[in-house]
Amino acid sequence: MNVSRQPVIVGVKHMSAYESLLPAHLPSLRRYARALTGNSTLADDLVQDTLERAYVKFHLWQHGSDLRKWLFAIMHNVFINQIKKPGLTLVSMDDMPDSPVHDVDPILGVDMDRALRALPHDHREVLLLIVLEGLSYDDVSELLGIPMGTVMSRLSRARERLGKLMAVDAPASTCTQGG
Amino acid sequence: MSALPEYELHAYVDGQLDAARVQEIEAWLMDHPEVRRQVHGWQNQNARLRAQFAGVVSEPVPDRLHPRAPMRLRYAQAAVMALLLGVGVALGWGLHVKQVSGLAALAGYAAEAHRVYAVESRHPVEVAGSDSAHLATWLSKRLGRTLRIPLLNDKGFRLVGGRVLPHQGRAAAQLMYQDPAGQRLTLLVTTQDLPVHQEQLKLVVRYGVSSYYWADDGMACAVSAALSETPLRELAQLAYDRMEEPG
Repeated sequence: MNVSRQPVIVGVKHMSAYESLLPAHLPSLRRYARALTGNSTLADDLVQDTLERAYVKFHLWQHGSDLRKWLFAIMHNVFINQIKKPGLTLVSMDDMPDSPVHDVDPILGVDMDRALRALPHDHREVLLLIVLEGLSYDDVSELLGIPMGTVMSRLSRARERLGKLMAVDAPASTCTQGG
Repeated sequence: MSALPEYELHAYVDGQLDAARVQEIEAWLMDHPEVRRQVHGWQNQNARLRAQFAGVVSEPVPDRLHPRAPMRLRYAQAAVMALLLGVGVALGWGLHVKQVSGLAALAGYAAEAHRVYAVESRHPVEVAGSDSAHLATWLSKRLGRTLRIPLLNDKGFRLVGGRVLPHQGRAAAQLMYQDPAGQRLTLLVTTQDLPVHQEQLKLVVRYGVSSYYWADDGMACAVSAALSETPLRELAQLAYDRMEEPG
C-alpha cells in the first residue's frame, strides 16, 4: 500500500458500512472460492479469512469504487498466502473428496471439478474470475496485478487444457481414467 | 476481414465486446467453420463451468460468514482500545507499560535488539543497504517469505543495512536506518503463525526505546527508536504501508 494513512481505530460508521455493503457480495465470493478450492469447507474458510481481512482494511476501500473487485483482490492475496504457507497447502480433490454441487449431473460435475483442479492455480483464477464471475479482462488484470497479455495467455491456456481434460473424460472415450 | 486475433475470439466468448463487434465476428465465423467449432467448444465449456457452480449462490450462507464485524476481531478491537487508553494513562503517570501478549514481548525483543545494535558505530549491520536488492533477497530467503524493504529516505532516514537475528528458533530480520543527525531506527521483522491480524499499531516502551508493533500476513514487525511517540508512530505507519502487498 503506497497510500500514506494514519493509523485507524475502526469506528461505528465504518462497521455499519461494512455490514450493510458486504452481504450482497457473499454468494459470489462463496461461488468463486468453491470453484477455486474444489471443497466447500476450504472455500468457506477462504471466504471467512477474506472477510476478516476486508473488515480490517475496510477504511482503505474507496467509497463508490467496485467493492466486489476489491474483495476478489483481497481473496486472491489470502489464497496466495495460503498456498505458499507450508503445511497449509490446499488439499487436492483426490485427497479430500467433497460431494459435488447439487442440481448438476454428478458425472459431469466431478469431471469439471477434477479438470479445474488439474489447472495451475493462476490459470484457474483467471478463468474463474472471467467466466464464473463475469469480470472484465481489465478488472482481472488489475486485481491480480498482471499485464493484460498474461491474462489472455492464461485464459487461453486454461481453456485449452480444460478442453483436453474434458475430452479425455468424455463418455465416448475408451481410456481408463488416469487421475 | 481475413483472420481474427485469438484474443478477440476469447473476448467474444466472454461477452466483452460491444454489439457492433459481436455482429462482425458472428458474420466472420459463418465463413470459418473450423474456428467456429473451437468457439463453440469454449462456449460449451463456459456453460458447463457456470452450471457446475450455479447452485452455490442459492445456498444459505453459513452463519460464520455473515458480515458483521468478525467476533474475534471485535474483541481484539476492544482490547486495542482498552490498551491504547491504558498506554495513555500509563505514560501519563510515568509508569512502565506492562506487556501482556506475545506480540508485546516481540516488541520488547525489538527494543532490546535496537539497543544492542543501534549503538554500533563501525559494524551496525551485516549487509549494507547500498545493495538493497541483494539485502532483500538474502533476508527473504532467511525469513522464508518475500520481504519488501520499506525505504524512508523521504523522512530523512536512509537505509544502513540489515542483519539476521535469532527469534524463537527462527530467523528474524533487523533493518537499520539512520538520519543525518545520526539518530537510528530499526525495523524488526519476524515470521510467525499469528491467530489475529493486528493492523493497528501498538506502542511498547522498553530500555528507553519506543517500539510500535503490528502483525499482518503472518509477519510480526516492530519499528524502534529513541524517538518521541508521534514521529515514531508516523515512521512506523509508513514502514507498514510500504511493506504491504497491494490489495
